[in-house]
Amino acid sequence: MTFTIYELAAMQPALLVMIAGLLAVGLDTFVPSKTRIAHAMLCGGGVIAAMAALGSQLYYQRTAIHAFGNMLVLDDMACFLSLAILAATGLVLISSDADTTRRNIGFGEYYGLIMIAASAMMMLVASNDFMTIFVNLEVLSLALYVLTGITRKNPRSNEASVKYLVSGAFATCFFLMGVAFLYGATGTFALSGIREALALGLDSSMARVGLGMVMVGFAFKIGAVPFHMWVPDVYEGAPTSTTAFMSVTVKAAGVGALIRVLLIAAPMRSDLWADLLWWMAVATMVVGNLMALQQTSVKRMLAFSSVAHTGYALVALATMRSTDETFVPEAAASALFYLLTYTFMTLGAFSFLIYMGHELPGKDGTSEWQDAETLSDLAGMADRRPWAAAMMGLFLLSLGGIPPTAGFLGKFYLFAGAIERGHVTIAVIGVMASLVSLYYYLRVIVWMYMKEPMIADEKPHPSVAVVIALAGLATLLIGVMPGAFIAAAEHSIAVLR
Amino acid sequence: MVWAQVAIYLLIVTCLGLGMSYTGYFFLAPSRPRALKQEAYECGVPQMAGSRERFSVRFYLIAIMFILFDIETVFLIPWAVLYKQLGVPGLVEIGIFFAVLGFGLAYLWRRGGLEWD
Amino acid sequence: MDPIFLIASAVALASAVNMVTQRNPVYSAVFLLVGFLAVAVTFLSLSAPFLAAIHVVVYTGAIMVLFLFVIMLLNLKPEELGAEYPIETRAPIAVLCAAMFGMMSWAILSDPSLAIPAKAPNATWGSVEEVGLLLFNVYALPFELISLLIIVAMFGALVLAKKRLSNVEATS
Repeated sequence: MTFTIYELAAMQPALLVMIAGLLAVGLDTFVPSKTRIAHAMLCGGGVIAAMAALGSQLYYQRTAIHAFGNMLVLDDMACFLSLAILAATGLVLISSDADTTRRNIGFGEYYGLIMIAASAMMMLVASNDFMTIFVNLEVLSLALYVLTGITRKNPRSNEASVKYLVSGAFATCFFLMGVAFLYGATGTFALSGIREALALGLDSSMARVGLGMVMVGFAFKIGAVPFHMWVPDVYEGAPTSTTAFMSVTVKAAGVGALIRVLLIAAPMRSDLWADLLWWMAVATMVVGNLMALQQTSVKRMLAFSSVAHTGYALVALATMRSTDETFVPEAAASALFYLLTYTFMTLGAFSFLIYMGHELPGKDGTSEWQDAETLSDLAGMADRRPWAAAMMGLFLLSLGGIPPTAGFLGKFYLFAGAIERGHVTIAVIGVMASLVSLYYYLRVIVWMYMKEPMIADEKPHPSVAVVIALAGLATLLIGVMPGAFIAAAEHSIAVLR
Repeated sequence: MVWAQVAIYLLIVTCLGLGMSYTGYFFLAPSRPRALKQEAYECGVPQMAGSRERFSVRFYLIAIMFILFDIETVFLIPWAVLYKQLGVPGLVEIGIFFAVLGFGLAYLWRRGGLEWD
Repeated sequence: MDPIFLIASAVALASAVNMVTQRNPVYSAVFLLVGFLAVAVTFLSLSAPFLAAIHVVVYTGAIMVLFLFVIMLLNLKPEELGAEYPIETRAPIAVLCAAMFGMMSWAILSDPSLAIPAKAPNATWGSVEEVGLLLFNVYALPFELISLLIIVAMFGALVLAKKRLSNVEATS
């Protein structure tokens, strides 16, 4: 088997991002007089070039590119999720300009790891073979373990990194064992090959267990209950820009890869996985929201809220098999659309915490940077930072699902679809869960608007303000005119079959 | 049966080694232990501290780098065996692989990862 | 069944149990070493000589070195090892692991494909050439991506474990 240059087009967007990341490290290492601007330009250029490549793929090429023996396929779903991941990466790059200088992080490696993780995620959502899925999953996980612990002097960050590494390695074991079982049952790593082998009617217990273990592996990575234990500690301990990055992009990439595995490898065996996902989605929504209720730290609350939002996205996958036993793969479109809305509102909320950071006097006269974390850090900010507080209010209302924001439409689309396919119970549980979530989202707004300020020395950074504004704009835009985005999500799933 | 030969060989080697050392220990060597003789030998100087000291953390980085380059070598072996059969495409593949890792080595070198600060 | 396979897997299992139950980390590491070697022998008896060789080079060579380094870095004295977890926490974990093992064995044993007799592999199966041809032809893309994985590990190791980082100190 030989490969042609044409096949490289399938990984061109990811390749551009990867090369920009490696060059950023190279710039930091080999060029003596470098500036932060050069890094930002390089990585931003990579992101924009990759977006342009994806755009040309979507508007001029139109047909999916199957490359490297169908291991990588750049179809509309890969493009859709890649664009969401790139948008998040771009926003994180802008906001980490503040973080790297404040926390004294080596920015070459920081930008490099973010870009490499993003490129691995883009290849993950385009992976059509368990071999590429696994390698990309590992590249992105490894980069994120390091990014979590990149503030080396901060013990919380170190602890989070170790926890993430250990639980992530555990998840990898599950995933790999599941892939081995599927290989044992079907004799192939290719998703389409697995589908053909399963369609032969061989009711394989190995394939059944293998699929279950692969799903457990994915559930760990996207933080679904009961495999969510690491999420609050890791999200809280990591530097906030890293938290923002991983909370949105890993979910998009992980759920995307899960959708591809379920729809391409095992669509006719939805009886095996639909129930499992149903319980997982319900548990994730309920546990995520109930735990978020009890938090006093806003950062930890947002971590649990991200668990809950994973549950909402899983509702779409769990209800793909309608109650009259027909299989409706189009349902996955609502998960894709939800991931898109989730990207901007969560990124915006975490960016606000970076924006409201302040300095703490540390040991030996130096000062240490501290992002806003508790409710008291945000108290009364509406008076002093009215625009940023209004934006934070917008993100929180969107997370809670209040119209006319993106979050409302995402949830509406999800739950309406579930009811249409006859799954009323899970839709009712979902709506109840988001009603509960309103309590803790509104509590932050109440603290911002009705309490007296408790800290006086917050030091907002203009670049983070840009991120907040852009994320707010996107949240409103998707909320006001969702048609194009929903159509794109539906088209992505339609071509997947 | 190849394995039987290996097993017999191992048996003989073990018996020979153990036999020689135990014969020497029981029949030839005089045994008059004293407190000073029982101590660990440290250049003839009385012992200062326990021998189980903590290693420097800096060894850790070296161990990790050893593993990484070890894994790199593992991928080189099949390519070397198949060198002629794979031809130019194989050369390109391994070339890209080593270009990326060569960049990694250069990075380590420049950033002082190979130095003992 | 092949007697060498049976002996090697028995040794692997026994050393794995010993590794988990030892209190002294160095003893655990030595049992792990024995276990790795025994697994390499099972690979050999399953006609996968290349995998066996790699297993010895990477696991018993490199990974064991790392384990021993970490044990010596920490060099815990017996009194620093901390208390054992009480039986109330250990028992459920053991039950869970046993259930996991049971499920996996059930899946393999009850699989209908077991009824189909396995084809004997051809003579070169599992050799360096066979593995290499697969690696450089079919799995060329994952192979190249592994270089990315290794380089990320290099960045990570340096960023996290290096005592003084030149560029970080320069900006402070």
